[in-house]
Amino acid sequence: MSQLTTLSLASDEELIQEFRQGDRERAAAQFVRRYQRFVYSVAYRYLGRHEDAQDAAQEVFLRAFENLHRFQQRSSIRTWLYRITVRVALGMLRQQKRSAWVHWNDAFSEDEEPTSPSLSPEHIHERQEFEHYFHRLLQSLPEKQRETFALRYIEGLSYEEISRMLGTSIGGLKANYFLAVRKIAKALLNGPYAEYFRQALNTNGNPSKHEHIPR
Amino acid sequence: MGTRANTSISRAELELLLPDYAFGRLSAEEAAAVEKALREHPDLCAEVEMLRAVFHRLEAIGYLREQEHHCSMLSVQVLNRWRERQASSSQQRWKPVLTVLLPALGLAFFALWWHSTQRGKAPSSPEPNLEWVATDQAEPFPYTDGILTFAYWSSGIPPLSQPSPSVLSLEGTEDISEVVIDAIAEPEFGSRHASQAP
Repeated sequence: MSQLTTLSLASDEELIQEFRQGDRERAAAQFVRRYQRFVYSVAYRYLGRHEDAQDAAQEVFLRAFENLHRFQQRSSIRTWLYRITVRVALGMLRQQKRSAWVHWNDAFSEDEEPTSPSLSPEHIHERQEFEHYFHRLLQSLPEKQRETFALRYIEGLSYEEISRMLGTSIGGLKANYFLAVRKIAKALLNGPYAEYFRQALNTNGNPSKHEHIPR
Repeated sequence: MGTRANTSISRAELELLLPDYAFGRLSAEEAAAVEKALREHPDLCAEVEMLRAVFHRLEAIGYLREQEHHCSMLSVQVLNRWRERQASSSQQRWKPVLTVLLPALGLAFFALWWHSTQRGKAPSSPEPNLEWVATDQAEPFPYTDGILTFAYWSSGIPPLSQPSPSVLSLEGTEDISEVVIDAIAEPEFGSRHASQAP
């Protein structure tokens, strides 16, 4: 088994050990690969722009590397990174003196990468518009509900881990999750994409391939 | 939750379990308990169907899972920035030494050197009374008495009790040094002048 494979299968503890005493760069690269999507999506939820989310994610990992030798493993790496990400994102928002909402009033960036090469420009545009809409919808939720939804539904974390991240009881998290899911579903069924989502009720949610997302 | 299958679930509890049930996040035992409870709440049954349909369609759009490509290069970017930061931090490491520590050390050495030199030539007597020096009392001309005494001694004339004003005002002499030179050159000079004196 190659070293890279070995490291990719390593536990967080082994990865930290490798970072502290072994090949730091290799461990660092694997560390980023393991948590990049999680850190990035948290930063994106707070900042609302891909460029800002990338900057924030880079900063989060750099801070993590600076402090990894002091990490006591009292919480999971993911919880630790979540806290750093929220701190960095809030700091960036304070620095910018504008909330993520402002970005949503801007037109989406022209240089955004296509989400899938198989999609036509029309589909890409639709998808980007929907992405902006859905993100705005998430932002309209109270922070605890939004984060609970994202961490549970998108990241698939356990309530115990989310509870450690957000400092909320598991009962409170379940209530937040239920409220968030219900609000999102109702907003989708009554918002600009209502037609698309109402069709889902008749087709058990299965869209045809490359179906447009009509407003 | 093991006992939950056999006990009834309240509507409030059931609502909290609905999302996890709809998205298949419950264990088989928990799911069975929820299904049993749902029979008593058909409206919640409809809500489960609605949630499943809407979120299934949301998944179909695919955007929720598509943030991967936005951060696909993150590890490379982070490692590059990390290397840059490490390089600059190793340069910055010596900056405080050069800017603060070295001048401080220099000052400390100078202070030590100065202290040691001062201790070597430190007077045993107490410090002079600067207060006395600062007064406006005129200090007497230091050599006046000595020169006149020498002049009287060499001329054989007994010194006067208050010689200074009279000698300095001798006729035809503008400079005391002239008087002294004359007194040395001519032994009778003193007696001659003395006879002229009142």
